[in-house]
Amino acid sequence: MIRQPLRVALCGLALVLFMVLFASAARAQGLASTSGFGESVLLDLMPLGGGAPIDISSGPLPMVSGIAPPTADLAASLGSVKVPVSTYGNVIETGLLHVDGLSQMPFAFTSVSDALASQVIIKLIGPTSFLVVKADVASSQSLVACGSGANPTATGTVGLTNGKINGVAFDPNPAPNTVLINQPGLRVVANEQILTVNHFSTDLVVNAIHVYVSNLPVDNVGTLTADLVVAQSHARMLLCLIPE
Amino acid sequence: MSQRSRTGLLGLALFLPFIVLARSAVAQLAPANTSAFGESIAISLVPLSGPPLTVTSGPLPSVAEGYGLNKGMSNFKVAGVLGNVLETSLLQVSSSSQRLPASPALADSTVGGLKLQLIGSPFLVLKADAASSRALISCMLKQPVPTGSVNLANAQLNGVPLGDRPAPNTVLLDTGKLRVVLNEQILSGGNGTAHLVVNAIHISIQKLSITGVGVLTGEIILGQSHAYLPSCT
Repeated sequence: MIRQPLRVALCGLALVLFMVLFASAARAQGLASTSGFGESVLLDLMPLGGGAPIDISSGPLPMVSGIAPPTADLAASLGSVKVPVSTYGNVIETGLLHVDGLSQMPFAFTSVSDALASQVIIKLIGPTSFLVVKADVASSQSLVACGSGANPTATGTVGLTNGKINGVAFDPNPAPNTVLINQPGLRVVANEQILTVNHFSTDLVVNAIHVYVSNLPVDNVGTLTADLVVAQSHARMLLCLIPE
Repeated sequence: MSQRSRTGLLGLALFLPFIVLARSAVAQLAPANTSAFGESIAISLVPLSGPPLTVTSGPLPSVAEGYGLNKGMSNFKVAGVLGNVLETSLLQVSSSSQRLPASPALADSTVGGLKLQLIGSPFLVLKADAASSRALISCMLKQPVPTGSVNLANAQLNGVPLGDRPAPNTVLLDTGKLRVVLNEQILSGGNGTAHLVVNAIHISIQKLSITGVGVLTGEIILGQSHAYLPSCT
């Protein structure tokens, strides 16, 4: 049996520990954060015949990132992007890219981020492209807010106007984590939503389009590994300190 | 008290909490209302000779009252009498609110590759790589907290660069007959409600005489976001 003073001391210690952990989390990442980008490309190609590997990276561009408080209200645009890969043409081409983020902390417990890319063409490489993804507009939004509960609520949405994958049209408002292609070494996800909820925070990343390529042999080219993300939105909120 | 009265009172007492609960549920479920559009144009020209001409377009694309709705359009043009009034490479709108009570109402609108040119030998040319607006209303301590914002990328009016983050209700031009407002914010409400309309660009024309062309009247709105939150309880 634990004596009364010891029990009080232990409770006090637990409370202090919680506050220290919470304060350090808040100091490190703010009470809320928002970020987003238009495109990000990482590509590694091991050519046939053992030539030097080709490493390509682009982005994240344009990008916004902010923590709150104080209130963060951010935006960035970029006219267009083209990412060439050796002699194989552009792995990604876009028109306008625009991202913005807003966190109303300390005035309200809401954090939101939007990203969009227009005239998107993703073309994975080779004499005959094995993957072509197109969309007139690809957009994502991540919203994390404190409503009537003690925990933040996260909502993600994606819009893909006139989206096509290898010539086949897909849903302009795909369900979360819609897998368009899943085969060995190649995976394409539309409206990818990565929700992380722990004792301290709720965090939602939304990618309009995410292409994963892992050690994929490409005829007459080599072995390809790549990670491409179009229109990423990310919002995060610590606990709802003042539940509505 | 008779048996019948007692039964009646007991029934009423049992029924009353249900009425109160139902009323409270209805109050809590009063939905947020959000909407947005990319462009809306209504122009009327009375030429020096001949019948009046009108140019109307939009609101396009538009979304309303959604839990995560969005629409996009690319390469959009509005033809006028003497060339295009509006050209854009992109129009994108979204409207979202969460289904829970006291959740935020959010709408945003983005116009990309914007070129707006008023009729005649161009006396007003507005260009921007991007013009976006956002209306967001959240709740804090049971009160609505509205935030409107507008962002412009590489915007120019008649060749003169404009700031990226115009202050709310920035009047660029006001001659009495021609008025250009950036980041127009119209906020109303009270008693726990809030209603916010944000226009990235708003051009109003009232019987403006254009040399060699005629008399022009019109209303042009680019990038409108609208949020309404009826209750924070």
